[in-house]
Amino acid sequence: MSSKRPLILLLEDDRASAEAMQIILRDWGADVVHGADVEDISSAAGARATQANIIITDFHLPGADGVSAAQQLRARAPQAQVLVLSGSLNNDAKRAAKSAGYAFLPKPAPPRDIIAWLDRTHALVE
Amino acid sequence: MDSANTRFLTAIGHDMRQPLHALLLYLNALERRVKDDEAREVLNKADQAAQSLASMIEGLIQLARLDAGKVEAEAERVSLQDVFDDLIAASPHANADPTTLYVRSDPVLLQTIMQQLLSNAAKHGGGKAHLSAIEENDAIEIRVRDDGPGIDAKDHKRIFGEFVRLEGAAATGLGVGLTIADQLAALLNHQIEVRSKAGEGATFIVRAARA
Repeated sequence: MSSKRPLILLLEDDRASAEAMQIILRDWGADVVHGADVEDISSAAGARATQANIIITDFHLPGADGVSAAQQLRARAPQAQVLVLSGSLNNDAKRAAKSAGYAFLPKPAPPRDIIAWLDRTHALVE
Repeated sequence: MDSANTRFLTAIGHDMRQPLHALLLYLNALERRVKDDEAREVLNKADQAAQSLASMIEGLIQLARLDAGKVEAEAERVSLQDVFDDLIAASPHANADPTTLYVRSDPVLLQTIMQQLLSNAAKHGGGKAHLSAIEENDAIEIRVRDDGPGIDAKDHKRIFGEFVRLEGAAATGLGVGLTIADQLAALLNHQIEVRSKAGEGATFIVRAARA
């Protein structure tokens, strides 16, 4: 990993899951900006939103699905790679993620799988 | 599962899963930070117990959704090599023969069926599983073979029932994985069966239309 910490935008509306995920992502070596929806995270990230390397999003968010939310964020950070997480059993999340060309992991995704994806992805975008 | 149970599980599914998912993440974050081996071992056991609970809850909710008719299939042409690649990536105990065959199925639901069969092989089939696909008349047979203790002929139909655990089977899970696989197969117009003799391993077969 380079000396510059990658910037991850984390979209998750469950407060406890978001907090635990931020610990894991920061321990991995990232700077993390968290928000419960696009408006929230855009406000938290400010001008840094354009520098995002990675977007990790829950699929079920208030107001919009995670794939649409990631597309809105990528409009300002087209270089960002996207991972969609979902506990949906209806398979709509996986279909939407695949059709947008985003990576997908079912919830509860073991953190080792998320980190393996981050290692692979970060090596590509570095 | 009766309709009251189905309504109950469908309604509380989301609320039960969120804190459990958070618990799994917190445990894992802590496990990664703790340096003491003994403490790590305790946390690892807590993590495994929480994963086991999560897996049972997922199974129950999935079954409830199937019972309530809330799972929808969208059939398309599916590459079995793609299905095998995804399965192998997520299941270190499995391997697969290469294949060029395609079936008419729903890729996500087919993946779920095969995951349930691999999970069954991991729990009861001696740990290892081998995937393959062959043409059989106008259909494709997708096979999951294990080297476990095998299944007596009298149990070949019974094992697909709800909450069935065979005598002497490892006491893990609720016994709903094969039920989910069977109900998803029915939804997709696939057929599922097991060929096995006691002491000789088992082969689970999903038969789907060629595409």
